[in-house]
Amino acid sequence: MSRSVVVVGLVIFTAWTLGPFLWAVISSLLPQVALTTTPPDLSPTNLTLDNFKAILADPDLVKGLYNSTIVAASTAVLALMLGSTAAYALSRLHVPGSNRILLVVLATQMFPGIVIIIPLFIVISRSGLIDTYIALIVVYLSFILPIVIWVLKGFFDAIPLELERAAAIDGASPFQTFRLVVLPISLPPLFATGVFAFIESWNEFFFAVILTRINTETAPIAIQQFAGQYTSRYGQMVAAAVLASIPVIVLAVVFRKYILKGFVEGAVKG
Amino acid sequence: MAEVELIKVTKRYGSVVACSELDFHINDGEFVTLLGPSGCGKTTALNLIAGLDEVTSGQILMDGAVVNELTPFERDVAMVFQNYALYPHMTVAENIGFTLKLRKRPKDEVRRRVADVAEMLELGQLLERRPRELSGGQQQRVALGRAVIREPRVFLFDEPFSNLDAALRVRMRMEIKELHQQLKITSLFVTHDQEEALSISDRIAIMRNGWIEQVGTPQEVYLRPVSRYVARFIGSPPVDILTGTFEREAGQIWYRVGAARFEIPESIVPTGDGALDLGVRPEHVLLGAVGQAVTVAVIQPVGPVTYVTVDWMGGRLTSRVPGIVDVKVGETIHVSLAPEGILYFDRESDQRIATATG
Repeated sequence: MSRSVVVVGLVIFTAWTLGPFLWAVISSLLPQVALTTTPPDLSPTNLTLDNFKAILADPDLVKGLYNSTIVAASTAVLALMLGSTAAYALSRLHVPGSNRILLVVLATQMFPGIVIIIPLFIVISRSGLIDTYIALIVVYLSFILPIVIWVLKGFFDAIPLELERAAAIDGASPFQTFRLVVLPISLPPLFATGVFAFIESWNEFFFAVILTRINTETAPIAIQQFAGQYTSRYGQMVAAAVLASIPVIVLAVVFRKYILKGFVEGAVKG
Repeated sequence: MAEVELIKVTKRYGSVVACSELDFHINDGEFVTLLGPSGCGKTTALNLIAGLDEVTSGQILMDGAVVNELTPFERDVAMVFQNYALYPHMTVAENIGFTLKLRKRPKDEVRRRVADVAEMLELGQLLERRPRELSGGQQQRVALGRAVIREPRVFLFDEPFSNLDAALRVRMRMEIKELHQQLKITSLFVTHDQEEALSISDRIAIMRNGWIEQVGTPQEVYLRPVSRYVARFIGSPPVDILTGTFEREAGQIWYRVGAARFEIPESIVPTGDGALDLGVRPEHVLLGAVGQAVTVAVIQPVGPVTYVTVDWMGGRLTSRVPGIVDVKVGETIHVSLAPEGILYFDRESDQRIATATG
């Protein structure tokens, strides 16, 4: 395939992906009136930050962002703690039936949320956990952990065993080996999977809308509520969406830098 | 510095026997090589001695004390790995000094000893680089430095040169030998390269399918291999094996292979039954005016010597001739076997049969 075809393809793909987001950014800077006329009035004189001012004063959205931060950060940290140790064990220890464990872990990914939501709701509601952080974190972990385990296991598998053996010979205890050798070279993939876990939970809507009420509503739920029964505050809705996507974008940019870092390169020749 | 002794050391992985009743002894300050093809158990043996793997049965002793239960660190061994296994996130200095840092040595002592080792291995300019910024040979030296700084009781080398190109390999071989002459630390070196083993070792242990076939000095294993396996493994080009029969005619003994026959002095023909194969190394295949008439098949000049391969109906031999030879492919020449170089192998057992001369 020639280079120009690739470039054209990439341009189309970028426009396709970025288009809706650009539209959201533009919309968030326009008053409701300009948005609801046909065709929308896009003249620059109309640009205003009113929508952002309004949503920042909206206690529901602020609370939603706060809740999302707690849920997503907790999910990411727990996913890394549980996922990295599980992946390391599956990669390095002779766990009986480890292949089967990995397949079962992957198989949990096969159920669409809609299939399990009713039994899940019943379980969580009978446990008295509806509208709690724990419910959301546990549910998010259940579908994020398998991916984290698979990704990290692949990474740990690629770390040459000799590095750990060399550390053992140099006199490092197993914990020192993990802390001083394995962990530093694993930072990029740990960071990448952590960001992945954060973004997945930050954006999640379906489980959140069913498992939360007033106290633990996350940002996506709060944003959705700008579309009311009688009026829809489109401008504020997109402004909230733009605001909520900022952490995701920042993380994604850092994530990209880290994932490209060929850290293990040079560990082994060949 | 230490003596190392293996007593009936066996390692099984499930039903697979990687090492079978290994019995050998490395003297204090000696340089011993484990030589064998890949999969013969030599790296497993090294890992067992290092303490990176547990023996299934048997004992490993260092200076007379059983070390089976000790960690690699407690055994005080240093190891150089085939792929170097440098820590990618550390600089050269940090890699070399890591073991001292773990022992909580004072910072200035670490710095001084790292500098000493770096000077010895000509790494002085590279101390702040990371492994990926180094060439293969430099990485190899860092790996050596990491082992040397320890001043361990035993050095273990796991095919340390196999990732280097040929010229560098020969140079590193010399450097390791020189290093050993300087430090006189007991060393065990694993390789599949017979020339490397011959050139570097005080003694060589040749391994086959998990057991040790022969232990001896380079001369012993070259001149008096215990079996056809050892004879074929040591030496390049390899020993030629002739499969034929003895015949007696007019008071002379001949060994017939296909259309050719070679005269053998009676005094060196082994007594006893059983069919024998003959092994002859290239330096003992003599070209000249006398002997069996054969045809020149291949001529390989390699500088100081030329290898001339001759053939006849039913067999082939390669001869080593000094300098350049004045023969052409297709030409007929005469070949005889130097009596002192003939090796006899029992066709059934592959064991070498000794003659009156040894």
